[in-house]
Amino acid sequence: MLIAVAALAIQTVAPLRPTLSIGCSREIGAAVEKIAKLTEAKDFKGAAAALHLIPGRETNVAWDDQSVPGGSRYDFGRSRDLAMAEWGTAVGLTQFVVSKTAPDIAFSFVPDGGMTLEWSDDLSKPRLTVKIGVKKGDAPVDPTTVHNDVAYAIGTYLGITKLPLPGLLMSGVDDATQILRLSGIEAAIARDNVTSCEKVAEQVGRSLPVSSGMPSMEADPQPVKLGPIIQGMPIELSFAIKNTGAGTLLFRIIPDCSCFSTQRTQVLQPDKSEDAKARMDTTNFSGMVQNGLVRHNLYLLSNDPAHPVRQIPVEVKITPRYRLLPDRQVVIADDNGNVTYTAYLYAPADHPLTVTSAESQGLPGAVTFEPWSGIMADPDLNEGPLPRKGYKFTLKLKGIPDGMQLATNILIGTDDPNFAQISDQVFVQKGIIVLPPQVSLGEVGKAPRKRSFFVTRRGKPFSILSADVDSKHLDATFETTQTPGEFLVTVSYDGQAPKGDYHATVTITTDDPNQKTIKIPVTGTVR
Amino acid sequence: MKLVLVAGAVAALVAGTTALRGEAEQVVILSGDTQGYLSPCGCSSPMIGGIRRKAALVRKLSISGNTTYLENGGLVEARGRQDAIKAETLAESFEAMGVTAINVGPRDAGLGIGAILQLSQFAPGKLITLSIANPEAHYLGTTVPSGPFLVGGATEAPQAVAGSLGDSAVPLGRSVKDLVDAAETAGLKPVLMLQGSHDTAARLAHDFPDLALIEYSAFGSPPLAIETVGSTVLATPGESGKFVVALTYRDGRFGGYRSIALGPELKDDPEVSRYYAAYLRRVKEEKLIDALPRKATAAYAGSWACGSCHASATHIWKGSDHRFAFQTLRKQMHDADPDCVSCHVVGLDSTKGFRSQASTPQLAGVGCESCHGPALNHVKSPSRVKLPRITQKACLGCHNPLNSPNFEFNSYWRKIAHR
Repeated sequence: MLIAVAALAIQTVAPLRPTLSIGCSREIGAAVEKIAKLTEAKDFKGAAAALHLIPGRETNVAWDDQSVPGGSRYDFGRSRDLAMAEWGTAVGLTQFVVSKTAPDIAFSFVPDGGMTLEWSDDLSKPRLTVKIGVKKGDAPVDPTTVHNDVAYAIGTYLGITKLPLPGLLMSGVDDATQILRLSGIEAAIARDNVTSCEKVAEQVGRSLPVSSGMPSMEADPQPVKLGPIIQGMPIELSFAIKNTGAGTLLFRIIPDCSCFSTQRTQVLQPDKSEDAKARMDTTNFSGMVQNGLVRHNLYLLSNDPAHPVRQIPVEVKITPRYRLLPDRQVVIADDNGNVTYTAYLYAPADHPLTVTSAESQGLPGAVTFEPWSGIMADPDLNEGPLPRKGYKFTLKLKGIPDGMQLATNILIGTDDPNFAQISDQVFVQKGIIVLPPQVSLGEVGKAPRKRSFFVTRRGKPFSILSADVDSKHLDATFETTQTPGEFLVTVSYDGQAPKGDYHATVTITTDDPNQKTIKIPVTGTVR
Repeated sequence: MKLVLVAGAVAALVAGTTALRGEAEQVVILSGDTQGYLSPCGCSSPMIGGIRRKAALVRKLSISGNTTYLENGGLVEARGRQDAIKAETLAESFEAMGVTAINVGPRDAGLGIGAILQLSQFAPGKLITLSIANPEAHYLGTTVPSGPFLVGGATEAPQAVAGSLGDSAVPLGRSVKDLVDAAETAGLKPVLMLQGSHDTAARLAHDFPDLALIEYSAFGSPPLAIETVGSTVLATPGESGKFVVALTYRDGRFGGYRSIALGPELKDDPEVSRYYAAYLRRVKEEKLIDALPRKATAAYAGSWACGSCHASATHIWKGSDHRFAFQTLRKQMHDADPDCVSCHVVGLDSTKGFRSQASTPQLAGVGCESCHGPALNHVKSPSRVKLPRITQKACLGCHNPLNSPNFEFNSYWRKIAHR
């Protein structure tokens, strides 16, 4: 009687339906499915044996380094230990043990070539056999590469598919020159997979059924091509997803840019449909020579082992919300240090922008603005003279000192919340100017090096009387250029200064009573 | 007779070398539009990009004598003093990496003739443009031969380059024709670096089918696969120096297209790391923070002043990364770098804001007023002076796609949630 009740109780326990992580691999999905089918056929002994196909609490790692040159074996072993420790810590549920007995993963080395991975469903063989080339091309493989290869192989064993996102260990990049660290998402996928496998193992251990039937994502996300879109306008993207499988489908979009906002992992029961959504903020993309072409990628991750990751290219053309002209402007102050500068703002004709305020930021001054329309070219956009409509700004500055190039901004307030405050940088200068104001020799060795720079005053010629230096390792000469009021000064470094940072000063003497001497710092690093 | 024999032997050797080179695979590395991002900003992980990683990758990909490495201009975005120092550092670094040619685009020319002269001294013979009438008068070249290629540089906005350098513009079509003709004369394949859009590149490929390759400019990431228009390959490394595109060229065909993200798997190159350290020293020595334009605002109080009334919010701030944002910069030697400091202190753009750790320690780090605005008047008279309501837009000035590529409001807000 008691036995009958117990049997009834077992029969009424709902079978476990394992849910793997988004980004799970085809192989782990197939292995869980195989175990589930064995339990459904009440072959719990076979299912228990098949647990070898999925990661468990302990992972045996066989390590055959006979083909490795003796001098590298120790370092390669350390690389392996580091990779195992990282995964062990990150997942927390499984320990990696180097053992020749019943290995789950078997590493060995071959004379040449990149890493190869081979799965086996044969329960008497290692689940994953990994071969690492001692040489890749002509170059001997180094401990860094061994670490990254071992870590990638372990991630694969833990059921993570290749993830094409930049910067991830599981992206499987071939160009690494240093050790790759596990990211949070890789650790989370492995943890969720191992947790699911643990539950499967517990169920099998108790001779309880596991439901077969994986989720299946029906989705056909096509590459997105949009535009032109006015900068700042949001773009809503959605991709229809249907779960045509038997298991619970998890999916999530991971973007390669924070200009996208996406939803958290979504859960979809069998036969249900839902959209995966992403929203793109275009505020940070202006036009210029790229013609506003923006390319990014969305990665649709799911726990459908047949389609764990799909890459969705997104291409959008974005038209600038506004343009400020002229660009990168240098303004010359008059003899009294006064500057009057005019700038223009225009917006697309069908998306006008209302200016609400304008002020000077930086140098003390005043800005006025008024509506404006006229014909103007926009060289940066390669647009000739065209009718434009917007605003005209007049910046007035006073007291600009001699011999300096100073930056200031016109701060403009607008009625567009995405561009509530925009700024136009203006450079003003007066008197004799040195271009650039400081001269760098760069990193220098024993070889002599020359550097030239301009000393100039547009529209008002002057004379250089002398050019002196305060360092025995430097010499300075000067000559006129074809531009009136401009000199080319050349400093010659002799390559003999002691190691370390090098600082010297060139002193230019002129015939201008307001700028009798001009000092130009010269810097460098001596190796 | 002996001389003739020797000359003949040398000629045979050169011919043999040429033949060998002709058969050898040429590695083509495409980079450009660094836009001033010398370093991947350290705000979130894994950041992509930076010249130290790029140098490591370029050296790894390069094959001595058989590499064409192109930098398609766009070194910087603006024209301030820091931009000029960045451009010099980039030119010095590119030269160390063995760059074949650097295309001078509108932004680069916008730095002015003084800066162009400096760049030409850091990377002698490498700066080129076909977009102005007299490039040599501005220390620029037009083309550079490299293996089977003749490399030229041009922009679709030649007026912008010409205007900045005081020269006359050469229309793009004529620039490209000059390149194609010169390549034909030299028996080489023309390769064009274009500071211009994909559409323009496609049009040029159609109009000049002899072009072997066009490198163009685009935001975001490079395309996933190689693109051809006719027999011309079109490729872009994307924006901000985050990616490098690598191709191979053998027997008249391109192949092996790869778009490689400059991720943390690339160890910083030691030589370029030295140049980068020197850049940071120069930025500090020139005191560029002191030269920033500032606007008049109300006065700041510092976050500690908020605690007496907003104890819970201040407690959360005290335990947040925001509080230590300036210390993070100091550890990374970026505490004098205006590019970085503005997002790691309070009110750098204000006459009443952060000046230095010594003079305004209460404003070092991201504080309450970074988002809520100057609050000294509110502290003095809480009921009379109210601070404006803010939204998640307050985050986006710093947590933008380039500096904070993993930013997602809900998850980030949870780290500092307060009322």
